[in-house]
Amino acid sequence: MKKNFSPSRRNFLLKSAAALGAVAAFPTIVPSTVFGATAPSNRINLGMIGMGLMMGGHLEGMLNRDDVQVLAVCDVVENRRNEAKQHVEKKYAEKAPSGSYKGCDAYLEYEKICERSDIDGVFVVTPDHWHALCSLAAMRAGKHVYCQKPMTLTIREGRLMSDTARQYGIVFQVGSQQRSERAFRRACEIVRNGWIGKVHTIYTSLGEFAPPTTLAEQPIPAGFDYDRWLGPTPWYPYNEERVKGDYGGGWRRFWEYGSRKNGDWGAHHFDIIQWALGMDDSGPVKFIPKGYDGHEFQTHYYADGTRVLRDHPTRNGQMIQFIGAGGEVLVSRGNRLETTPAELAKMPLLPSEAHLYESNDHEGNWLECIRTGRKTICDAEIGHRTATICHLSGIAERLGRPIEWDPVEEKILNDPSAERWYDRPRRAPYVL
Amino acid sequence: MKGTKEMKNKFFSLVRIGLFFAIALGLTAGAFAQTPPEELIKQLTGKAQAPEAAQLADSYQKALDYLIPLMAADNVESRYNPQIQLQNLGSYAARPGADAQREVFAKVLIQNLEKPQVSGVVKNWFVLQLERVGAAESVEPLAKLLKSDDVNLRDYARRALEKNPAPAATDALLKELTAAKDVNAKVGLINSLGQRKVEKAVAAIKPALDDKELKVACAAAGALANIGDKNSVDTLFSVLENKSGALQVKAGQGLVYAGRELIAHNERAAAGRIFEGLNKALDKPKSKENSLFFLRVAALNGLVACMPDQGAKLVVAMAQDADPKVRAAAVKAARQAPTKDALAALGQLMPKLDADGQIQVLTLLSERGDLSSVKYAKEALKSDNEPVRLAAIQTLTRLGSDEGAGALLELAASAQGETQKAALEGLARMVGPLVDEAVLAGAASGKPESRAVAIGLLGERQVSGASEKLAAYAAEEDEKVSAAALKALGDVASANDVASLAGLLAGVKSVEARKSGEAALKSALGKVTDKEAAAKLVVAKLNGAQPEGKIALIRTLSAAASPSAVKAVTEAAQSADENTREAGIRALSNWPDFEAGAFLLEAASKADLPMPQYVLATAGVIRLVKESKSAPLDKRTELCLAVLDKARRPDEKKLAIAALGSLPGQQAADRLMKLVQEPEFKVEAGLAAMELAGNMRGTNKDAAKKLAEDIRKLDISPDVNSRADKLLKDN
Repeated sequence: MKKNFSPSRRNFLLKSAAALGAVAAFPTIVPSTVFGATAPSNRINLGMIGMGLMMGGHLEGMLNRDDVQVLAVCDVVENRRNEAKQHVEKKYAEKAPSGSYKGCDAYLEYEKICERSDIDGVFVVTPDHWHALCSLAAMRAGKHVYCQKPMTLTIREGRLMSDTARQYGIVFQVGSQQRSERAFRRACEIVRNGWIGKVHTIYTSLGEFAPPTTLAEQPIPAGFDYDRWLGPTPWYPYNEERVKGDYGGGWRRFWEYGSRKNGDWGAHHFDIIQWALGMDDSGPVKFIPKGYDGHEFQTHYYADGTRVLRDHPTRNGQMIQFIGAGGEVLVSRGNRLETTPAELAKMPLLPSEAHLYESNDHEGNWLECIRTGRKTICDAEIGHRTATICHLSGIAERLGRPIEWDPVEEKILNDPSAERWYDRPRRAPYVL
Repeated sequence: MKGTKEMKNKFFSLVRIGLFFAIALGLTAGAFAQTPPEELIKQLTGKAQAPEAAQLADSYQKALDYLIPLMAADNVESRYNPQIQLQNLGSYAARPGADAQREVFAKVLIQNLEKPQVSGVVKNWFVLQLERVGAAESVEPLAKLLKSDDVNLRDYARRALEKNPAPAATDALLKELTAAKDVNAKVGLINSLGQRKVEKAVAAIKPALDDKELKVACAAAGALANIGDKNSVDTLFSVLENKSGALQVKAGQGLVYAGRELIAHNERAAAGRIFEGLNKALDKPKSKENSLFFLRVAALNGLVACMPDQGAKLVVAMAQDADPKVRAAAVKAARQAPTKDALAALGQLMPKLDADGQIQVLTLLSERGDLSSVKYAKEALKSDNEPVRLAAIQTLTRLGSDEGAGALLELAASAQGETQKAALEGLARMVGPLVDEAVLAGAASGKPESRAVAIGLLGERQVSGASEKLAAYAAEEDEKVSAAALKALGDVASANDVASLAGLLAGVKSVEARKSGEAALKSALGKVTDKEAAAKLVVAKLNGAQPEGKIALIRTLSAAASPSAVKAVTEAAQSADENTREAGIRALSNWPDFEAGAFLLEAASKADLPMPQYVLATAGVIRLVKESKSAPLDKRTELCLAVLDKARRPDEKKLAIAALGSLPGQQAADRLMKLVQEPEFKVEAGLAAMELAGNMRGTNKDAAKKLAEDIRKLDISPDVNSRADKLLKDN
């Protein structure tokens, strides 16, 4: 399989890279101090929505920065929001000359954060079914948004969020942080520049959750606003397993609150695949569920025939494997990058080749863009397009048949029943 | 008579055919009656031969008779699979081109909804399927459920009607809205009507704007925005003008949404009118309030997108506002502009803006990529404020032009610190058809400092055909120019440049230039396939080379390992001149091939070899012993033992003992067992023996075990014992 790679071949490939449109990317060179950002009056003030498992890292990251200030936290669980408030105040007290600090509010309702004129941006780190409602309310109130992946629960939510961000001039970052990892960017640049020739097949590993289940009703714990936790999703009796934050299951198992593994790891890996293929404003055209008509793997196809197979075993257990006519790229977290030919991994990019957006700090990129007005590395349109792949894969799985998709018009084709899954009706009184 | 007989025959034939069909039908019906429900579900989900059309309803009923009790089983967790089987029935029934089957399925679901034995949980699932597959046949039954006592079932039904494609579903929702009293129910119904985008609902929704419950009024505003017809838009404007607080904000947000939808459908003129009206309505002092201010921002964005001239004027006016948030909003709005007017206006305005405003404009200019912006960014390079200069460099980098490249070259040569670093980084990445030409021109003439910068960039940018020019610059007298050119050659040099680089290196005088030249020649040699021919080119330059140049050339030969290179280096290793000898030994100690080991050993064996060179030579042999895994094991062991036997000092002996651990064979094991008897080396030998045992496990498990056991018995040290124990345990 190993191909010879020579400078002359590279020059030849450059022609195709030029056709792709070279992008001069540049890492952040404008320091955050440019606006006197560490001065209290110039700090970016934040509200944190959803204080569960996933928020831990984000909150600590923000508390350790001098250029932001966490002013409020929000959660449907009373203990959790109160503990978060205490934690924030304790951390700031440690830094304060007086040794004490009281300046973080705890809310049940995210709407209260949106109403505050002194808050500039919000982290939305709720389960997926709340991403759109919280983000839209925040954007309409002029708040910049860092929203965890997958950005949405339905395709329509994504279109609405992307349009709203554009209309209100919001700096939006989706938490697909693999874009800010060097190896993934490098893998995408190798693919984008045609160094492995035309990519025809991509394998990616998402893994599996245990199947969803029905659960016996349990008493709702005191201080837990379960109705608000369910929000726009259909009513089901309370059970701890349903609401639990758990990377291996919990609410992530259920279709009501996400797209299972497609929305979990797919939101990361499909996102990188989109980036590598230069499809950030578009997407695949056909989705085939696993098991349909002899398909051993869940698969989606791009218009040029490139296919993406889920959970096909990748070489060396890597997360994503791009296979092209002239080589391969394999990439994983922890900056694991392998190429065939091997020298591609370290070959420098020429100025005339496509340099992708460079960010080495996903949260920092969002904050920098708030200050400069620059687009983030994973903005709402990108997040929407990636989430669309997650959702369409899940819809095809549940319908048990392929779905054809028009990524320009953003419509499911030739299947009126499947079209109804474009959005989900919301339980009253929750509206977008 | 004949005719009568024929008639009789015909009659009997018909009777026989009739009997045949009757029996066949009976058999089929019998077979159907006996079909197990799981098999029936397979048939109804496309996984087995489908039932006859006439039997579809009965088949669905039989399937539901089977599923209903399972979906309400006492064992709650067991309910999931039958629920999914029901969903699969619906998904298959609603596949494209099977509307008749979909209708049959929906009707059977509806019939069962009314049965008393069907529990609430099961009804919810039935209605959820109707949400996905129901059409006209489902409207009336769903409308009845809107009056259910079960609040959850009512909401399931409302959602199913929201998705129902039949126009009658709108009527059902409207009818219920007029009767609804509960706040949540009203919100749900209004929202569903909005989602259906039906103009006939506007009249029924409008009164809800005055509902005493704010939630209901806001839902009405949202629904009108979704419908977005003229009546709705006029109504929302009226709310914006006449109401206050959350409802006013909601109306404004609704207008923004309605405008955005019109843009999406390419109705920019109509959208522009909405944004113009919105901007006018909000152009009041109170609009600086947070929520209204962001509506104004949205209106401005819309105006810029739909009415570029008007939008550009507004952008310029707002960019000079005293309030920084207004200025930032204006810059952002310029991003949406389809023409360059707003961009140019902001560029001209930039000197009047403060630092943060200038950076925002520069970022915008870089994202828009319009070359006419180069002049503004160039001007910003002169700023006293470093972050502004950095932003300007970033902008010029992204714009990529010869004019910008020239400005950055000048800056890179004259500036210092972060500014210089950023300029160089920008120049290395800059894209543009004439950028390389600008860099070539900068390299060719000017002050030595600026030429050196440009020359370095020729290498970093790997400018095509630059190596010939770089070779010429490397030969120049000026040390800055020469060193920069030699360094750059390291980036661009190819196999063809070996001779010229060797010639340059032979004559180079400065230390810096020599270092760069050596790296460049090594890089070029690394790309050569015919190492022997390349080595001959380098060797040919040894005669007549400057003394330091000769030493540098010798050091490069390890990158061209071949007979001629070995010969030249071994000769150097035996030279009477100490510097040349050291260079030879150093080159051999870095040699990639095992063959250098014998030469190094020979050199190390000479009693008069100075100690530093002896240490270098011995370390080289040990490296080759350990790394040359493709060389025969007995040769590697032999070489290692020779170092051990001829070592001048205990330090080198210990190195050799440790290396024995990497040579998985009996010879090494035997020697280590002897060495453990020597008090001075027993610990090193014991540790090496355990490493050896570990290495031998794959090829000779028994020998490895015996070695570990023998060492363990000797009780050399706690560390050695622990390693032996681990090995014995793992074995």
